[in-house]
Amino acid sequence: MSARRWLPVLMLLIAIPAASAQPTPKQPPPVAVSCEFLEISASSGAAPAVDADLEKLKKKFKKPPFSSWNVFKLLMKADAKLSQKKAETIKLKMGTATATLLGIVNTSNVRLTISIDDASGKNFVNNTATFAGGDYLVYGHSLPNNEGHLLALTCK
Amino acid sequence: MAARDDIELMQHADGELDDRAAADVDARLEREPDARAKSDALGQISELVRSHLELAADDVPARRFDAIWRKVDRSISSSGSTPEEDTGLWARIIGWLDRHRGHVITGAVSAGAVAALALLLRTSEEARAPRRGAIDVQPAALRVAPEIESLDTPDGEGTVLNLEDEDGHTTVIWVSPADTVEGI
Repeated sequence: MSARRWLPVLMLLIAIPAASAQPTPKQPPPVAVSCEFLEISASSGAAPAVDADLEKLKKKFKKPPFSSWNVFKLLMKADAKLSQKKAETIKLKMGTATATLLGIVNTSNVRLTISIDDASGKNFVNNTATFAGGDYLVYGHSLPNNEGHLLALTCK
Repeated sequence: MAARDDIELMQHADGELDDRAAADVDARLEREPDARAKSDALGQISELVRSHLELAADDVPARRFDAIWRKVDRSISSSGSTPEEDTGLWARIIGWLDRHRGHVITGAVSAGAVAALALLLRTSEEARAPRRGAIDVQPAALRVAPEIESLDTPDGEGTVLNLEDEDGHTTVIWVSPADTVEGI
Protein backbone atom coordinates (compact mmCIF):
# COMPACT_ATOMS: atom_id res chain seq x y z
CA MET A 1 0.00 0.00 0.00
CA SER A 2 1.40 3.37 -0.94
CA ALA A 3 1.95 6.21 1.46
CA ARG A 4 -0.91 8.21 0.02
CA ARG A 5 -3.31 5.52 1.27
CA TRP A 6 -1.92 4.37 4.55
CA LEU A 7 -0.77 7.69 5.93
CA PRO A 8 -4.25 9.27 6.38
CA VAL A 9 -5.54 5.95 7.67
CA LEU A 10 -2.72 5.76 10.18
CA MET A 11 -3.36 9.30 11.40
CA LEU A 12 -7.06 8.55 11.79
CA LEU A 13 -6.26 5.42 13.73
CA ILE A 14 -4.21 7.54 16.10
CA ALA A 15 -6.64 10.46 16.33
CA ILE A 16 -9.88 8.55 16.90
CA PRO A 17 -8.81 6.67 20.04
CA ALA A 18 -7.02 9.73 21.35
CA ALA A 19 -10.03 11.97 20.94
CA SER A 20 -12.61 9.46 22.09
CA ALA A 21 -10.63 8.31 25.09
CA GLN A 22 -12.29 9.04 28.38
CA PRO A 23 -10.79 12.02 30.13
CA THR A 24 -8.53 11.32 33.01
CA PRO A 25 -10.77 10.41 35.89
CA LYS A 26 -11.00 13.43 38.09
CA GLN A 27 -11.77 13.38 41.74
CA PRO A 28 -15.49 14.12 41.82
CA PRO A 29 -16.27 17.43 43.45
CA PRO A 30 -17.66 17.07 46.94
CA VAL A 31 -21.41 17.02 47.20
CA ALA A 32 -22.46 20.32 48.67
CA VAL A 33 -25.43 22.62 48.73
CA SER A 34 -25.92 26.23 49.70
CA CYS A 35 -28.53 26.80 52.35
CA GLU A 36 -29.98 29.94 53.84
CA PHE A 37 -30.92 30.02 57.49
CA LEU A 38 -33.37 32.63 58.78
CA GLU A 39 -33.91 33.00 62.51
CA ILE A 40 -37.20 34.74 63.16
CA SER A 41 -39.02 36.02 66.18
CA ALA A 42 -42.79 36.00 66.13
CA SER A 43 -44.92 38.15 68.36
CA SER A 44 -48.19 39.94 68.48
CA GLY A 45 -48.40 43.65 67.99
CA ALA A 46 -50.89 46.42 67.41
CA ALA A 47 -49.99 46.54 63.76
CA PRO A 48 -48.83 43.68 61.59
CA ALA A 49 -45.21 43.92 60.52
CA VAL A 50 -43.00 41.59 58.57
CA ASP A 51 -39.37 42.38 57.86
CA ALA A 52 -38.54 42.92 54.24
CA ASP A 53 -36.06 40.04 54.32
CA LEU A 54 -38.95 37.72 55.10
CA GLU A 55 -40.96 38.65 52.06
CA LYS A 56 -40.85 35.13 50.66
CA LEU A 57 -42.43 33.78 53.85
CA LYS A 58 -44.95 36.53 54.30
CA LYS A 59 -47.84 34.59 52.83
CA LYS A 60 -47.09 31.60 55.03
CA PHE A 61 -47.23 33.72 58.15
CA LYS A 62 -50.92 34.27 57.54
CA LYS A 63 -51.60 30.57 57.99
CA PRO A 64 -51.56 28.43 61.14
CA PRO A 65 -49.51 27.94 63.20
CA PHE A 66 -48.05 31.37 62.41
CA SER A 67 -51.32 33.23 62.16
CA SER A 68 -51.49 33.63 65.94
CA TRP A 69 -48.76 36.30 65.57
CA ASN A 70 -48.61 39.29 63.31
CA VAL A 71 -45.13 40.67 63.88
CA PHE A 72 -42.23 38.77 62.40
CA LYS A 73 -38.71 40.04 62.74
CA LEU A 74 -35.52 38.65 61.34
CA LEU A 75 -33.10 37.95 64.15
CA MET A 76 -30.31 36.43 62.12
CA LYS A 77 -29.62 35.42 58.56
CA ALA A 78 -26.84 33.03 57.62
CA ASP A 79 -25.77 31.43 54.38
CA ALA A 80 -24.00 28.14 54.83
CA LYS A 81 -22.52 25.71 52.40
CA LEU A 82 -23.28 22.24 53.59
CA SER A 83 -20.91 19.47 52.60
CA GLN A 84 -21.99 15.89 52.65
CA LYS A 85 -21.73 14.21 56.04
CA LYS A 86 -20.07 17.23 57.54
CA ALA A 87 -21.93 18.86 60.40
CA GLU A 88 -22.25 22.60 60.09
CA THR A 89 -23.05 24.61 63.17
CA ILE A 90 -25.00 27.84 62.85
CA LYS A 91 -24.94 30.15 65.79
CA LEU A 92 -28.37 31.61 66.42
CA LYS A 93 -29.41 34.60 68.47
CA MET A 94 -31.30 32.20 70.66
CA GLY A 95 -29.58 28.88 70.48
CA THR A 96 -27.63 26.80 68.02
CA ALA A 97 -28.53 24.79 64.94
CA THR A 98 -26.46 21.95 63.55
CA ALA A 99 -27.12 20.85 59.98
CA THR A 100 -25.63 17.87 58.20
CA LEU A 101 -26.13 17.21 54.54
CA LEU A 102 -26.79 13.55 53.97
CA GLY A 103 -27.01 13.76 50.20
CA ILE A 104 -28.75 15.04 47.13
CA VAL A 105 -31.70 13.03 45.87
CA ASN A 106 -32.62 13.07 42.18
CA THR A 107 -30.45 16.16 41.63
CA SER A 108 -33.16 18.47 42.99
CA ASN A 109 -33.86 17.35 46.55
CA VAL A 110 -31.79 17.80 49.65
CA ARG A 111 -31.61 15.20 52.37
CA LEU A 112 -30.30 16.51 55.67
CA THR A 113 -30.54 16.34 59.39
CA ILE A 114 -31.15 19.31 61.64
CA SER A 115 -30.62 19.52 65.34
CA ILE A 116 -31.61 22.68 67.22
CA ASP A 117 -30.79 23.72 70.74
CA ASP A 118 -32.61 26.55 72.46
CA ALA A 119 -31.03 29.55 74.14
CA SER A 120 -30.33 27.51 77.26
CA GLY A 121 -28.53 24.87 75.25
CA LYS A 122 -31.30 22.37 75.55
CA ASN A 123 -31.92 20.28 72.49
CA PHE A 124 -35.55 20.47 71.44
CA VAL A 125 -35.69 18.97 67.97
CA ASN A 126 -33.80 16.47 65.83
CA ASN A 127 -35.05 15.87 62.35
CA THR A 128 -34.10 14.15 59.13
CA ALA A 129 -35.94 15.36 56.06
CA THR A 130 -35.79 15.38 52.29
CA PHE A 131 -37.14 18.44 50.56
CA ALA A 132 -36.89 20.14 47.20
CA GLY A 133 -34.52 22.94 46.43
CA GLY A 134 -36.34 26.22 46.82
CA ASP A 135 -38.83 24.88 49.36
CA TYR A 136 -38.71 25.87 53.02
CA LEU A 137 -38.39 23.94 56.22
CA VAL A 138 -39.53 25.96 59.25
CA TYR A 139 -38.84 24.80 62.78
CA GLY A 140 -40.64 26.60 65.56
CA HIS A 141 -41.48 26.53 69.19
CA SER A 142 -43.31 28.82 71.55
CA LEU A 143 -41.57 30.96 74.07
CA PRO A 144 -42.93 31.66 77.56
CA ASN A 145 -43.97 35.23 76.80
CA ASN A 146 -46.37 34.13 74.08
CA GLU A 147 -43.81 34.71 71.44
CA GLY A 148 -42.53 32.32 68.86
CA HIS A 149 -39.07 31.41 67.81
CA LEU A 150 -38.65 30.17 64.25
CA LEU A 151 -35.81 28.88 62.17
CA ALA A 152 -36.50 28.71 58.45
CA LEU A 153 -34.12 27.20 55.97
CA THR A 154 -34.06 26.71 52.26
CA CYS A 155 -31.40 25.21 50.03
CA LYS A 156 -30.36 25.54 46.42
CA MET B 1 31.58 14.71 -61.08
CA ALA B 2 34.89 15.82 -59.55
CA ALA B 3 33.14 17.45 -56.63
CA ARG B 4 31.13 14.28 -55.95
CA ASP B 5 34.31 12.24 -56.07
CA ASP B 6 36.00 14.57 -53.62
CA ILE B 7 33.06 14.21 -51.22
CA GLU B 8 33.35 10.44 -51.49
CA LEU B 9 37.04 10.71 -50.72
CA MET B 10 36.33 12.78 -47.62
CA GLN B 11 33.65 10.33 -46.49
CA HIS B 12 36.08 7.50 -47.09
CA ALA B 13 38.75 9.23 -45.01
CA ASP B 14 36.22 9.71 -42.22
CA GLY B 15 35.05 6.09 -42.44
CA GLU B 16 31.51 7.10 -43.30
CA LEU B 17 31.02 4.92 -46.39
CA ASP B 18 29.43 1.48 -46.40
CA ASP B 19 31.51 -1.54 -47.41
CA ARG B 20 30.52 -1.50 -51.05
CA ALA B 21 31.16 2.23 -51.56
CA ALA B 22 34.39 1.98 -49.60
CA ALA B 23 35.53 -0.86 -51.92
CA ASP B 24 34.75 1.27 -54.98
CA VAL B 25 36.76 4.18 -53.54
CA ASP B 26 39.67 1.83 -52.73
CA ALA B 27 39.64 0.57 -56.31
CA ARG B 28 39.61 4.10 -57.53
CA LEU B 29 42.57 5.05 -55.34
CA GLU B 30 44.46 2.10 -56.83
CA ARG B 31 44.02 3.25 -60.34
CA GLU B 32 43.96 7.09 -59.98
CA PRO B 33 47.13 8.71 -58.61
CA ASP B 34 45.37 12.04 -58.39
CA ALA B 35 42.68 10.61 -56.13
CA ARG B 36 45.31 8.89 -54.02
CA ALA B 37 47.12 12.22 -53.55
CA LYS B 38 43.90 13.90 -52.47
CA SER B 39 43.18 11.09 -49.99
CA ASP B 40 46.65 11.39 -48.51
CA ALA B 41 46.19 15.12 -48.20
CA LEU B 42 42.84 14.62 -46.41
CA GLY B 43 44.49 12.22 -43.98
CA GLN B 44 47.19 14.71 -43.20
CA ILE B 45 44.64 17.47 -42.60
CA SER B 46 42.60 15.24 -40.27
CA GLU B 47 45.71 14.37 -38.29
CA LEU B 48 46.63 18.03 -38.09
CA VAL B 49 43.17 19.02 -36.73
CA ARG B 50 43.18 16.17 -34.17
CA SER B 51 46.61 17.17 -32.92
CA HIS B 52 45.52 20.77 -32.62
CA LEU B 53 42.45 19.84 -30.53
CA GLU B 54 44.50 17.64 -28.22
CA LEU B 55 46.95 20.48 -27.63
CA ALA B 56 44.05 22.84 -26.92
CA ALA B 57 42.62 20.41 -24.39
CA ASP B 58 45.96 20.14 -22.66
CA ASP B 59 45.94 23.91 -22.24
CA VAL B 60 42.81 23.81 -19.98
CA PRO B 61 43.94 24.06 -16.36
CA ALA B 62 43.44 20.94 -14.27
CA ARG B 63 41.52 22.90 -11.62
CA ARG B 64 38.96 23.79 -14.22
CA PHE B 65 38.25 20.10 -14.64
CA ASP B 66 38.00 19.70 -10.90
CA ALA B 67 35.37 22.41 -10.77
CA ILE B 68 33.47 20.79 -13.56
CA TRP B 69 33.49 17.42 -11.81
CA ARG B 70 32.31 18.97 -8.54
CA LYS B 71 29.47 20.58 -10.41
CA VAL B 72 28.55 17.25 -11.91
CA ASP B 73 28.61 15.59 -8.48
CA ARG B 74 26.33 18.25 -7.03
CA SER B 75 23.92 17.84 -9.88
CA ILE B 76 23.79 14.10 -9.30
CA SER B 77 23.22 14.57 -5.57
CA SER B 78 20.45 17.13 -6.01
CA SER B 79 18.67 14.84 -8.45
CA GLY B 80 17.68 12.75 -5.42
CA SER B 81 19.68 9.65 -6.10
CA THR B 82 20.81 8.92 -2.51
CA PRO B 83 20.78 12.11 -0.43
CA GLU B 84 20.01 10.22 2.81
CA GLU B 85 23.34 8.50 2.88
CA ASP B 86 25.24 11.52 4.07
CA THR B 87 22.51 13.33 6.11
CA GLY B 88 21.15 12.94 9.64
CA LEU B 89 17.95 11.33 10.89
CA TRP B 90 16.15 14.65 11.23
CA ALA B 91 17.03 15.58 7.66
CA ARG B 92 15.76 12.23 6.48
CA ILE B 93 12.48 12.73 8.32
CA ILE B 94 12.09 16.22 6.93
CA GLY B 95 12.90 14.92 3.50
CA TRP B 96 10.33 12.17 3.81
CA LEU B 97 7.67 14.59 5.01
CA ASP B 98 8.56 16.95 2.22
CA ARG B 99 8.13 14.26 -0.36
CA HIS B 100 4.79 13.18 1.14
CA ARG B 101 3.56 16.64 2.04
CA GLY B 102 0.19 16.23 0.38
CA HIS B 103 -0.57 12.98 2.14
CA VAL B 104 0.59 14.31 5.49
CA ILE B 105 -1.66 17.35 5.19
CA THR B 106 -4.61 15.22 4.12
CA GLY B 107 -4.11 12.89 7.04
CA ALA B 108 -3.62 15.70 9.53
CA VAL B 109 -6.76 17.51 8.40
CA SER B 110 -8.79 14.32 8.57
CA ALA B 111 -7.46 13.43 11.99
CA GLY B 112 -8.09 16.96 13.25
CA ALA B 113 -11.66 16.89 12.02
CA VAL B 114 -12.32 13.56 13.73
CA ALA B 115 -10.69 14.74 16.95
CA ALA B 116 -12.70 17.98 16.95
CA LEU B 117 -15.92 16.06 16.38
CA ALA B 118 -15.15 13.64 19.18
CA LEU B 119 -14.28 16.44 21.58
CA LEU B 120 -17.43 18.32 20.63
CA LEU B 121 -19.59 15.29 21.30
CA ARG B 122 -17.84 14.59 24.57
CA THR B 123 -18.28 18.20 25.69
CA SER B 124 -21.99 17.95 24.97
CA GLU B 125 -22.24 14.80 27.05
CA GLU B 126 -20.46 16.47 29.93
CA ALA B 127 -22.77 19.46 29.69
CA ARG B 128 -25.75 17.13 29.99
CA ALA B 129 -24.31 15.36 33.00
CA PRO B 130 -25.88 16.32 36.29
CA ARG B 131 -23.99 18.89 38.23
CA ARG B 132 -22.43 17.97 41.49
CA GLY B 133 -22.13 20.41 44.29
CA ALA B 134 -25.47 22.09 43.68
CA ILE B 135 -29.05 21.09 43.18
CA ASP B 136 -31.49 21.88 40.45
CA VAL B 137 -34.21 24.16 41.74
CA GLN B 138 -37.27 23.08 39.85
CA PRO B 139 -40.41 25.14 39.33
CA ALA B 140 -42.71 24.99 42.32
CA ALA B 141 -45.32 22.98 40.46
CA LEU B 142 -42.83 20.21 39.76
CA ARG B 143 -41.51 19.85 43.29
CA VAL B 144 -42.46 16.87 45.36
CA ALA B 145 -43.72 17.25 48.90
CA PRO B 146 -41.06 17.10 51.59
CA GLU B 147 -40.51 13.81 53.31
CA ILE B 148 -39.91 13.72 57.04
CA GLU B 149 -37.87 10.62 57.74
CA SER B 150 -37.46 11.08 61.45
CA LEU B 151 -38.48 13.59 64.05
CA ASP B 152 -37.32 13.60 67.61
CA THR B 153 -38.47 16.21 70.11
CA PRO B 154 -36.84 15.30 73.46
CA ASP B 155 -38.99 17.41 75.73
CA GLY B 156 -42.03 18.09 73.66
CA GLU B 157 -44.33 17.03 70.96
CA GLY B 158 -43.67 17.58 67.31
CA THR B 159 -46.26 18.51 64.77
CA VAL B 160 -45.61 18.50 61.05
CA LEU B 161 -47.59 20.72 58.73
CA ASN B 162 -47.20 21.23 55.04
CA LEU B 163 -48.22 24.54 53.54
CA GLU B 164 -48.39 24.41 49.78
CA ASP B 165 -49.00 27.32 47.48
CA GLU B 166 -47.76 28.66 44.16
CA ASP B 167 -44.34 29.26 45.71
CA GLY B 168 -43.88 25.62 46.58
CA HIS B 169 -43.97 23.68 49.80
CA THR B 170 -43.28 25.00 53.26
CA THR B 171 -42.97 22.29 55.84
CA VAL B 172 -43.49 23.44 59.39
CA ILE B 173 -42.15 21.37 62.26
CA TRP B 174 -43.63 22.82 65.39
CA VAL B 175 -42.45 21.72 68.78
CA SER B 176 -44.81 22.09 71.67
CA PRO B 177 -43.56 21.64 75.23
CA ALA B 178 -44.72 18.44 76.83
CA ASP B 179 -46.40 20.32 79.61
CA THR B 180 -48.44 22.45 77.23
CA VAL B 181 -52.05 21.75 77.79
CA GLU B 182 -53.20 23.28 74.56
CA GLY B 183 -51.40 22.23 71.44
CA ILE B 184 -51.11 24.12 68.25
